Amino acid sequence: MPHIDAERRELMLTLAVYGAPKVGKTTILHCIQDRVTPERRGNINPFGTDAGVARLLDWLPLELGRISGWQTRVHLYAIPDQRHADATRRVILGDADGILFAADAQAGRLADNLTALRSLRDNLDDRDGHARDVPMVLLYTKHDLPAELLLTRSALNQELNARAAPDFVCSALRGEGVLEALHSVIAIVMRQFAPTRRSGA
Amino acid sequence: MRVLEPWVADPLTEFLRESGARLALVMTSSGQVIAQDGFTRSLDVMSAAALGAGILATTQELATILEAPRGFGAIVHQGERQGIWLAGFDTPRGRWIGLVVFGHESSVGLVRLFFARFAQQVAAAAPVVTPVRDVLAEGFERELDDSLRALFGTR
Repeated sequence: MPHIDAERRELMLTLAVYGAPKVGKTTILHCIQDRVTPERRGNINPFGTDAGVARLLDWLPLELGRISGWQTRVHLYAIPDQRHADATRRVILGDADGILFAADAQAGRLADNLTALRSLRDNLDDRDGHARDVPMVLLYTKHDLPAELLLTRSALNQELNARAAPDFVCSALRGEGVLEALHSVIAIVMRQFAPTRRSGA
Repeated sequence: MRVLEPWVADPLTEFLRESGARLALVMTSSGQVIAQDGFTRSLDVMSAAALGAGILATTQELATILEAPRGFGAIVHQGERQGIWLAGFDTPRGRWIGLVVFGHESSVGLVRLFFARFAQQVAAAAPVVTPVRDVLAEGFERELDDSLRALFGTR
């Protein structure tokens, strides 16, 4: 659940970039860091890289500014792959308000994507075994590679997107599609705070 | 002292005074900082919070493997010049974590004693949670769109 400080009128959202190993999760964070307005972001903070200790996670703070009088911040985490980071992964996902699921669009990585999707569901299971219903968007990455290596968007959706979540074709290296996906997931999460009675509804 | 939840300030001030601890950090179970006293750099705070949450989660996993469902009470590292106390506690806002650094002027016993009282005071002081729905005013989407445009530099 988003962190709400009613007295200071502050909202803090936690978003997680999740996906198979080598799909480009940290590259996505760097892409966002490089392209958002510098005054509206901090720097990517790597944890656990000192003294030879394996990296636990990377995170990037973003500032949305005031929305309806609420100072709104986003913490964006690249979820680690390593087995030793299981606990870190679980605590971040346990508190995540939204997920950017990064899937490698290469045909040869489909099995890895499916494994990552299953693992995401397992990590989102609460203690009673029910998966948390967390807003999610999908990023089909590596579209800078030759088209003959890649599955089509409809094929990827058929395999990975049973929830019909918003999906984006992207290349984190070229900066294509990433900000659109971030925009989408932030908007979906923020709508949870909207008045129950919607204008025009 | 910096606090995200103002109602934590008084219990934390009292805890620090009574226990004689040098540093204290209160965070959610995912490592979001609620309050801190004694850290001078914000990056240190965020690192300590993320690592503290990770350590406690790892310990809980170990407890599960060892079939100790109630987990371990607290983790204490006693160094030559200072010690660290790390423990979770339940609040109306969910499970939180306290990370306390103490020196020779205090002790594990003092920290344990006053941390338990701190946890009780925080649980009692927690205000009613604001419902997630209806936080934003109608028409917030335009402001959200403006904010995202400003963030993405497309204004």
